[in-house]
Amino acid sequence: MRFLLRVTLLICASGPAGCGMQVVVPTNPNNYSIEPGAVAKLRTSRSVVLRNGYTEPAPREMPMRHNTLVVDQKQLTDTGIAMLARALQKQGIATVQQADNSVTLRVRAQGYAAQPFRWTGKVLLEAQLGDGTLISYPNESLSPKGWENAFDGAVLFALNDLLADERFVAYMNRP
Amino acid sequence: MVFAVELRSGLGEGRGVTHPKGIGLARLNAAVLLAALAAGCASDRISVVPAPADLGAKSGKRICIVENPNVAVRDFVLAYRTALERRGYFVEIFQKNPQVSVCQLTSRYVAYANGFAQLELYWEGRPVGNGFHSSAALSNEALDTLVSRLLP
Repeated sequence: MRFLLRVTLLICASGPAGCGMQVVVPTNPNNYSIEPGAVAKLRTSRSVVLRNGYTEPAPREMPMRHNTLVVDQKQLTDTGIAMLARALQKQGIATVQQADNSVTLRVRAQGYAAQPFRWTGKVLLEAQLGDGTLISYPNESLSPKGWENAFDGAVLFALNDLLADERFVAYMNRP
Repeated sequence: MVFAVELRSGLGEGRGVTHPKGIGLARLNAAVLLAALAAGCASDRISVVPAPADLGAKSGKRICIVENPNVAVRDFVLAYRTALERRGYFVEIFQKNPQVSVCQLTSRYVAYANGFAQLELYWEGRPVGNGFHSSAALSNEALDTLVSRLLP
């Protein structure tokens, strides 16, 4: 009996640490697509360099009650770049390795909210334009499908903000 | 927080300090003790990273709230707006992030029925302050306190 009590106490004491695990959030650029209307203001027949501001994995760990949510910000930025590149290409803007215009993106995972069957991911999208302008937009997305869609959706919304930004449009459309 | 406010208002009216048999002093002590406890609890429930002190002047006391369609707490955005207006801010509400040329200081928020609320401030899209409140109930007074600590 005393042994059982000890084992139970040991399990209880080590519960949060012992059972705590890392929940790595995957990301997929094919989850969402930017609507064609969002890039309609950009002039066609141009090219742009899209760069990832992270050169190596940049995991952001966010403690939850018993687990830790881990978002690789470099991968999330890659997702954003792929989504943006796809939309730009449909508008006739090529993404290339060398061009006059360049945009360096950096997606920062800012937080989360967990409710029953509702997952919210929060991000901050930073875009450094080739002329030095830094544009920053926070956004978030609630998804019933899980963390992946929540964070990817937040990136989509932040990209929509960027594409609507008059400084970004002016830079991309400059002669 | 609501409790503390009620206690303070009771003392402000002079109740409990004028009883001829000295009971008033005991009540006063109890009230002070309860107020201290309540204040202690209240500070545990509010956590703030205050915005820079010059933000009000820099923004011309103009702030744009980005409405959160996922917040089901009825009238929260109106209560938040009122709290900001009490601090002297001119407030506009947007459905999505406004252009920087329209509004440099923006705020996003979240609020749940369990009394949790989080306010975030952004200057030209960059985070400059945030605060959250969590308790069983979120009162207008608590929201005022949160806003006043967020925007000193």
